[in-house]
Amino acid sequence: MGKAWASLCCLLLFMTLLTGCWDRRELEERTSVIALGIDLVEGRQNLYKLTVQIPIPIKIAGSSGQGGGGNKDAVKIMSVTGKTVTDAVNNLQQRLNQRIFLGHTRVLAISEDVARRGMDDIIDSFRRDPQIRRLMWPVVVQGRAADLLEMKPGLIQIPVVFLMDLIENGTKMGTIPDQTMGEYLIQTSNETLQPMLNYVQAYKDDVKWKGVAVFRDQKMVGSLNDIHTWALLQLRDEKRGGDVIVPLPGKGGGYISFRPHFVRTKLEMKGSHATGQDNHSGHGVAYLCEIQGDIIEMTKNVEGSPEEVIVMLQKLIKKEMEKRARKMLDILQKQYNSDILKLGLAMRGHHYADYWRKHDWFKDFKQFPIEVKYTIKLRRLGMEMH
Amino acid sequence: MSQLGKDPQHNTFSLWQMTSLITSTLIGVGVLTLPRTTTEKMFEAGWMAPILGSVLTFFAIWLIAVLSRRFPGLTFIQYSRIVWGGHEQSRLGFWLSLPWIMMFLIALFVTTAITSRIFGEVVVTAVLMDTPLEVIIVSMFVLAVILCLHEIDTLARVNEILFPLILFPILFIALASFQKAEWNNILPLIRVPWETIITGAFETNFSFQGYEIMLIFFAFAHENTGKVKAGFYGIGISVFVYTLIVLAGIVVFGHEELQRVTWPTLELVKSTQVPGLILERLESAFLAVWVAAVFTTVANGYYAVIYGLRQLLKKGMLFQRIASIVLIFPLFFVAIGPQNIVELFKMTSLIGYTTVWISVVSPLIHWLIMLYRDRGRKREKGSDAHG
Amino acid sequence: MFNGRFTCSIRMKRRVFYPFLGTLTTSDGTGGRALSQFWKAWEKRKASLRNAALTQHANKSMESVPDTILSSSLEENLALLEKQLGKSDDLVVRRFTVKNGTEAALLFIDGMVDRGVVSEYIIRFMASTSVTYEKPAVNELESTDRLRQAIRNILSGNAVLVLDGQNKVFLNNTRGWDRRGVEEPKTESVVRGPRDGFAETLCVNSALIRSRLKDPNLRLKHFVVGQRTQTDIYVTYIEGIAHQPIVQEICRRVENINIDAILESGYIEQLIQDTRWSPFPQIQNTERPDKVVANLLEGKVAILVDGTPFALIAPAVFSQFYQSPEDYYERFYIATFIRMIRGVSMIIALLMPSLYIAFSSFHPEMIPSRLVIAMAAGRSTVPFPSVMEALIMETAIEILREASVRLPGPIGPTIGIVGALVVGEAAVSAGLVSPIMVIIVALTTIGSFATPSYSAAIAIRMLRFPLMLLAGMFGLYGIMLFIIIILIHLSSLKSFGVPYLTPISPINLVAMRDMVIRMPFRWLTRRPTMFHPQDEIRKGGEKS
Repeated sequence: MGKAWASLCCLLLFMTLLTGCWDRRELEERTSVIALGIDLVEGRQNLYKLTVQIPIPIKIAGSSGQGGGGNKDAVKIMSVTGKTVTDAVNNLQQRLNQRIFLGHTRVLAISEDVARRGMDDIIDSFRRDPQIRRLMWPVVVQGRAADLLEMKPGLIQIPVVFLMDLIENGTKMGTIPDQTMGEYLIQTSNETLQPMLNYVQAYKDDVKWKGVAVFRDQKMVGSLNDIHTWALLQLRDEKRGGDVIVPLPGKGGGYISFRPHFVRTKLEMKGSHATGQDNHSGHGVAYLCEIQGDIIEMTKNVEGSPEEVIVMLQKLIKKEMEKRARKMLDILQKQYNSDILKLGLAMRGHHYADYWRKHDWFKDFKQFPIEVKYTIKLRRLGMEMH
Repeated sequence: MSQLGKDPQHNTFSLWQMTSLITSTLIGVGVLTLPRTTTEKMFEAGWMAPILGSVLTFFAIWLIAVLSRRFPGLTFIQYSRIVWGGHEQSRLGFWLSLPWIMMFLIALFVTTAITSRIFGEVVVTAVLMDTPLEVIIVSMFVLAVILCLHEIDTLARVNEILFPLILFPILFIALASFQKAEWNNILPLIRVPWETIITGAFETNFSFQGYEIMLIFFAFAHENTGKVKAGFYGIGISVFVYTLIVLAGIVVFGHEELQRVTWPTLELVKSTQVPGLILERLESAFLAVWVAAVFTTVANGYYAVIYGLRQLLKKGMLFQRIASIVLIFPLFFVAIGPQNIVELFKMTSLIGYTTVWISVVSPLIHWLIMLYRDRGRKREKGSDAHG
Repeated sequence: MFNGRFTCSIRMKRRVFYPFLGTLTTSDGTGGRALSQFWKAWEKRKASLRNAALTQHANKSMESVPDTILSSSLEENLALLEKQLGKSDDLVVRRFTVKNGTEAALLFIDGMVDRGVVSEYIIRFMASTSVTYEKPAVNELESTDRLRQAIRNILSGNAVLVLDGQNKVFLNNTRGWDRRGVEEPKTESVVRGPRDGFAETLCVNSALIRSRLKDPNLRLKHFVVGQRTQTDIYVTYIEGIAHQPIVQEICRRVENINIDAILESGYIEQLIQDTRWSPFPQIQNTERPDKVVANLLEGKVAILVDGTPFALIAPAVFSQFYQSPEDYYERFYIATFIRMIRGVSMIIALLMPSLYIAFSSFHPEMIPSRLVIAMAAGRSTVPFPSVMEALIMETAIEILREASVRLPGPIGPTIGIVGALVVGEAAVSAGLVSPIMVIIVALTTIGSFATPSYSAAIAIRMLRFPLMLLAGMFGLYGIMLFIIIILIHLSSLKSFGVPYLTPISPINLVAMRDMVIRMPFRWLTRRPTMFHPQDEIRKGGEKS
């Protein structure tokens, strides 16, 4: 026993002395990239431009007391070009004193041009690199991706953290889809559905979430605006989406605002083996969506007894929401022909033998009958009674 | 050390110890790739593979337990020669049993080496990118040798104490990832023909390899009766864990994505976010904790090999210690044998087939011979009584 | 690339190696046998050398006094006794005449006897004719005719009365040197619980136990250990609870001790423990009589040693070093909570610095992004890698701890403040260490002091250093490797046949009730079975 311990200690000592530490790289010996942006190089078809945002620790206020303060240049922004993403990263490495570390990369900004040309070229290295987070936020940027990294929100020292917080809070509130890198990868490899990504627009000093970018076969085909994205969220993920603002009928004008709180969606599927003369052998789906929520604003009082008002408002909101959902479905089916609803997954799951094997979903989706039916339950009227 | 050492309770395994021994040997690197391997042929129905595949395993462990119950206190190395040669012709029995024993020991040896290699691969790919693979493998072997320096009751206690450490992270990951579940991913329940399901289930049986070490360790059971029970509990727990992790993989990723990732369980950890936890990116932590699971697999296998050799040559503790250090060198060369990861996985499934042979066919043959002998003896007795 | 090279080399050499392999295996049997014979001879030689040294050693001690029978002449006896004690100057020989006219002499060592007893109850009672009582009026009076026993009694503080004409000498118990009284134990203080602790005197200590445990089955076995120090030892246990083989094993090991001096119970602990090379204590020491009694009632054995306030408790298991008698005096919620805190603090003390190393230099992706920027800023001026930083700081804090233990009372805390606050603050502002490191070192130290047992705490503190080295090599992987090594070692340990990690492994559900969670007394009806108590029932059912 004693010999065992002695030899163990010797072994440990020798291992430490002789071999050193292969992977040990101190915090300050890594260049943590917090965000990546990918653009096309104008005029050069086969080159990508990679922009990175690197926080400068010593300049971040509150980190060590000294040198903090002014938030002017808390981050360093660098751009390089390369034939592939890895090539660009390697080119970047040649311009940096420490090793690039992608473990803290939280946002991947992709310009709309790149997304429309196709993501397959750039996404593979993100799949293979073990440092990349599956929970990182890829976003499609309207215009240049570099603009997103170069914005200066002022409220927070690292600009990208601003965007990250914006998206994360949105997903918590249920207004922004929880579309991480991992989700995107799953959606691209799944043969029943199409991927989507959050779609933002960068301004000089802030950023705006604009909805989602819709893909088809890894190529962006268009986008949904915020209102349609909320309808998508309600039908697909049972997320609550944003507030609904509906103009009151009648000549008085005025608006009411409805805030959904709980969403329950049921996907009803019709059709079976036997039936069906037409194209879809009688298959079709209906989304039954029940929303509970409050009225949070009424710019004009509505005449009538409270019971009637509530029924009237419910009807009004239902109509508005069904209209939005219908519009969203039309865009997806007719315009983009891209199933980001996860409808194909459900069809394959529930009607594999009788439907899925006999149809090409990506062709059939275009005319697939989808119905939407909302049920609105107004619960409260806020702090005011009328 | 006087009469204390002779207390029978101290050198034998309790039911719980045997259960944890079996489970912790089974659960190892296999879990890291299991969601991919099971869905490869069975698609959405991959989660059934561990359940269906375990049938053969249950049968095998039952056989092993029954054999061991027939020869209480004897290991496979010892009773194999009795089975082949009877009590009278022990020399003949020794030579007849030798191929079976050697096959068992060599297969276990190779399995141990390959297990540590796979773990080395995953560590080097995912966490310690610049560390040489050899160092990881050797460090694993060093742990196994340290365990081999001790008596057999230490082995049981180490397994017992590491058991929760193995079980909790995997259960935690499986359950935590259910919050991102997309349940339509497991539908349709069955869409592949039955033959595919049978082959798929049979191949999943490979991930149950390792229980054959009970050919040796059942000899130390506390009570002769609890062996079957321990075997069933041990495999039952593994089946549960396997099913849960495959199910989690399928509902989170879908079977298409599972085919594309090398280490699906690790990706599952990566995409799991634990609210309220200070730390992010738990895959390094998970792999670190998983060292315990791999260690139990490697060390139990290695201990069984060393102990088997010790019994085969009828040597003492000193031999065990020296052998455990010497045998590291061939073990190392077997481990670094496969050139790349594709070759490695091919080798794993090859070993899987061999293991089925070792752990099902070999006990079956022994059992049949034993039945035949028992019957012969009974007939003899009967004829004696008549005549 | 690397793998390929290895396989190639194997393939190339295979043809060359095979024939040799055959010859090797055939010659292996004989070679091995020769080796083992040589090994056995070597072992035998080592053992005989050791025994020879020990016998020579023993000759120098008490056994050098011839065990002769005393004569009936006073002068002869005195000469004999004085010769054996070498005319030592602190030996007092008081000659006087007994009332019947016989010459007598009283021998004792100056300072070890109660002078009042000697003059009042021995000399006055024997010499004065007004007293009718014939013999010395001490509370313990024996007689012997053996020289060795007489010498031994003189040396242990008894007065030996030699009468002319008798070949017996009288041994009077007059022990009464100045001793420390019963005071509050310094190392194990409790908020709630008895304040008395053991003292340096054996009989006081045994009385402290007796007064708490008025059980007729309490047994104290007396041993004398240490050839020169002749230290008295009590092996204490409760007959009918303690497992007899354990008691016998302890007695056997105590009897087999062959050493010249026992100055503290630590000598005994190190001489009778099972595994010498373990950093973990396998026998518990305590200076609290209530703790000893509680452990006796669990079926353990206590060893009391003369000359030290620390009693030993054996067998010991790991969890017991993290329990305090206070756990039973407080209600069970509080006790359980406190035990959990102790567990957490042990983990902090063991793992915190190495986790810092692993996270900051191997897995920075695990630290939240905001924190990692702050940490990088803190580290940007530090000239060492984080392993060195942690090693230096931990060493510094160990020096500080040792210094404050050794310093005289009032200065100790000052050093603590100067060291921890002033030096720490200065080091941070000079950019030598990062602020997080200071926090971690402080937490580690505080965590290690939450352990009730000093010896267990020091083991954990020691293990922290190899753990830091391994964390500096492999990150979290290295930490786990070392934890597994520790667990293997802990599982292999046994204290007098009881596995060290019980009740966790082997699992023992009865004893589990009193491990992390201290169940209410209502459910603690049985003694922990891991010590194989003969009488398992601790508490009867509730009276209705």
